[in-house]
This record gives sequence, C-alpha cells and structure tokens, in this order.
Amino acid sequence: MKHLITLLVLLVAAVAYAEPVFVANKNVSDSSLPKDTVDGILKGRVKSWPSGSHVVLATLKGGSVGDAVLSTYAGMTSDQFNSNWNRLVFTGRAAQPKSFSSDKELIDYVASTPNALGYVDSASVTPDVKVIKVE
Amino acid sequence: MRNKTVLWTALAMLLTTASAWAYTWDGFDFHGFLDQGYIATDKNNFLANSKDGTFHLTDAAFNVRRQINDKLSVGAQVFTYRDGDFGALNRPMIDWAYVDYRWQDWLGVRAGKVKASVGLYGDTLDLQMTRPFVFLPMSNYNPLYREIENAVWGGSVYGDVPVHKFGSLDYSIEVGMLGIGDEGGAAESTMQSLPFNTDHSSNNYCVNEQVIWNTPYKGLKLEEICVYVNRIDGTGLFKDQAELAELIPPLNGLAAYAPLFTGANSRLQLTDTWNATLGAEYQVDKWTFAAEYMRQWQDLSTSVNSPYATTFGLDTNKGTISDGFYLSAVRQITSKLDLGAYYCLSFSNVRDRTGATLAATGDQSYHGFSKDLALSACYKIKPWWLVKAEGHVINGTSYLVNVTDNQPWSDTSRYWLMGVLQTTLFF
Repeated sequence: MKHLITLLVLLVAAVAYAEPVFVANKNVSDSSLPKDTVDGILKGRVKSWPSGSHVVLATLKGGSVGDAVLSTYAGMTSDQFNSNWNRLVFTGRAAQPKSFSSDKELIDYVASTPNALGYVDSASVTPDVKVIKVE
Repeated sequence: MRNKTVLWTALAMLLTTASAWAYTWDGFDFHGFLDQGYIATDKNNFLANSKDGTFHLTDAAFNVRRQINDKLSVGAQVFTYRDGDFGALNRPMIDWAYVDYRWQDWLGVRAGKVKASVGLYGDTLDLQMTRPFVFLPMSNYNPLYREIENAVWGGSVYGDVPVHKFGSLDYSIEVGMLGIGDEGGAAESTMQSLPFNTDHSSNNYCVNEQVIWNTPYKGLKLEEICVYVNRIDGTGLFKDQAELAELIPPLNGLAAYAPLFTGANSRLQLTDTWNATLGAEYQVDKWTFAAEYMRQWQDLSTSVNSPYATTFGLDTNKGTISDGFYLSAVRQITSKLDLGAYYCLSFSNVRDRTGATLAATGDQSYHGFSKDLALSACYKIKPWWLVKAEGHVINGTSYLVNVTDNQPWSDTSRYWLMGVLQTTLFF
C-alpha cells in the first residue's frame, strides 16, 4: 500500500510538472530556435525559420500549456495574444494561426503541414513530429 | 436603417453556420466584423445629436487574404462606417488593399493602399476586438480623421531587425497619397469650422516613419513616429448667410457681410504638416500600460476670391502647433472581462493652453482643449462577441467638430459627460 501511494504521488507530480515543448514538422531543418525568435513568431513579427522557410504557426486554445508558453516566451496572456493576432489579421499583415483544442489535434496538424511549428505538453510528443529546443 | 438590417442579417447568418475564427476556401481567408454602438451625452452634442442619444455609431468591414507562397501574400479589406453625422454606410471604402512581399524578416515591401504608422494603436482605430475601449484616446487618435491618417495609397518598406541582446527593432516607412474623401469625416468636420465649403480635396504626398524598439526588458516596447504631409488642398464656394451664422466666433460675424462673399471661390491649404510621436507600452501579467505624446506642426493658409478678402482677414497664412498626450491602463480581470482607463489631454494651440487668446477672439476659452477621463469595461460573451460600456468625464470642447449640432455655440458647456455602449461581432 505504501509503495502504491508513493507511486501515485510520483505520477501526479510528473503530470503536474510536465513542461511544454515546441514541435515542428519533420521537414524543418532547424533543431533549435533562439528565445527572441520564438517571441517574434508568437507575436507575428517573425515569419521565417532561421533556415529561411516560412513558419506555419499552430496554437492551442487556452489551457495551462498554452498559457505557460505565451507567458514564458511572449510575455503575454492568451487575451493579449488574441488581441495581437486580431490586429495582424484585420490589417492584412498575417493569417490567423490554426488553433486546436487538444495536443493530439495540434500534433496531427504539425505532422502533416510542412514548416509547421506548435507547442504541446512534453508528455504528448509523438515520433511524428520533431522537438525544437529553445535557446 | 435598411443598410444596417442587411449588415446584421448577413453577419448573423455567417456566425451561426461556422466557427468563430475564420472562413477559409481554396487558400483564401475571410474575416469581418460589425460594431453597433449607442452614444449619449448630457450637455454637448458629440458627433451627432447625442444629447438625445443616438445609435449612429456603426462600423463594418470584410476582408480577404491569400498567402500565395512563402514570401508573397495579397489581401484587401472594405470598410464602412457611420459615426454620428459623419460617414455613410452606403459609401464603403477600401480600408487597405495591397500586395505584400516579405523577402526576409528584416525586409518586406507592400504596394497598394497600406496601413500607415500612426502611433502604437493607430492601425487598430476601427478594430474594437483588440482593446476594451470604444474610443481610443482622442488626443492622439481621432476617429473622424481615419481617411487622412490611417492608410496611404503608395507603398511601404518594413521589417523586424534583431539587435542581439538589445531586443529587436520593428520599422516601417510608408510613402504615398492620403485617401482624402470629399465626404469623409475629416473633410466634413473641417468644413464645419470654415466660412467656405471644401467640396474638392487633394493631397500631394505623405511620408510616415515608425520605429518600435522591442526592448530586452520583457513586455516593454518604445516607439517613435514621424509623419510629413505635403499639401492638403480643399476648395469650394463661400457659404451663405444662414451657414455663416452657425460658425464659431468670430467667423459667425461674417454673416452680416455675406453678400460680399457668398459663392466666391475659396481655398484651404495645409502647406506642410509635421507630426511626431513618442510612446511606450508595457505588458506585465494581466496589465497593459501605455503612454504617448504627439506634437503637430501645421502651416495653413486660406484664400477667398473676393476684393474684400484682405479687409476681412480671410486671406490668412499661419502656423499652428498642437499636441496630445495620454496615459492608459488595461487589466484583464477574468478570461471574459477586461477593464480599462485612460486620461488624455489635447490642445489645439500649445501657445494658448489656457485658451485666453482664443477667448479674446470671441470664442470660448475651453474650445481649445479637451481633458478626458475614460473608464471602460469589455465583456466577451463569446470569443467572437463583445459588449462594452464606457464613460467619459470631459473638460473642454475641442472634440466638438460638429458645429452645426451645437447651436448656439455660446451654449456649449465646458464640463460634460459621455456614455457609450457597444457590441461587436467578428469572425
């Protein structure tokens, strides 16, 4: 019983502290992104991978992972993020990023879309996508 | 009324049949919005007969955009509005329409009708879904001047330049002609202050430049903007006696001499206009703070084709310096509710901030400035449906460009209140 409780606590802790990671389509040649570039991509200022191809951004609709990414890498709440992208869309400067309700949907999209970049819970990563380190 | 019914019906049909964010077909993305507001004021009439309350606060837009390849995109947005007595829903305009080639992140070019750099929020003047305020601080963002401030017909060069550990610089330079409409808000509001009509307006060119420094201090960005406009001309005929009597003192005194001038060809010319703005925005947690200071230098002249023009001081040539400043704060309270507040100051003549010189001409001293405290609440019923409530406590009457709605002018009140309700649907 004691071992079971210990195992349960470790499991809960693992879930609670799962970190968000960035994932990309396997056609992307870059393995990492500078933090400033991630900030720029999330805000629509940067549209290219360092290797030159066009970034296709995919986002999560709210949730703790999405909120953590926006806060950590863009210094924004999801509300501020949405306002920023509404501005870009209604001034013609960018297309609205595709937004998904679950990690699985996002991964499926990234895996099937060349040059796509998204973010999910690290526990959701599959071999269909490539993990991108943020430096 | 019929135009509004059509707009609301179309939008309701679209929103009930698809998701909130966008419509995509064959690589084309479609978006649109519809705003409907209600304004009421207690003393003076703002934009329309607002003392009786008015629903004449409607905007709508529809855009389409397509990403052609990794670097090339094309898009356009049609916009229509009615703000009180200004604008007309049956006269839509092209808000922006351009080809965009982004060669690198640090260098792109646009050609067509491109949005102009007008402060931190100028390009969102009509985008209610980007902020809790119905009206951006009018010291720096006048909704009636959208045609001459928000976009140019020409082109732009822009980009995002990383500056190593110092963050990045977003720059934009637009060159072109202003889309001055003879029946737009700017022309109409200017005409209400002049002894002659301006039926035909034109502009030589303008140059807008903006640099935003995304500092390494997270959430902080600083901006500078410089705008130069070369020649805005407005020509028309001198007004008749009844129209002259409604003008602001001392111009209303011309009514007694109307037979000398009525029908004479007249011209307003803004020879050179310079505008400079410095600003900052700071986002931290659920707060957004912003402040901007704007200063404008303008050389203008008027001329009337009459042998009595000089005698009555109608051939004029003068320079004016005006400025505007605001401080704002927005706080996200919950995922659905934002609250915002700002205090803004605007002065028509920096050399006469108290209005003493203006009062000596027969006008009210407080017509030369506005000091405006605004409080706003924005509630998201759905991610695509907002409602807003906003209140203003205003000292001064420089906002009152609708002179014909504020007769007699001597009865305008220095201190007045304004309330605004608005709802927005967008996709």
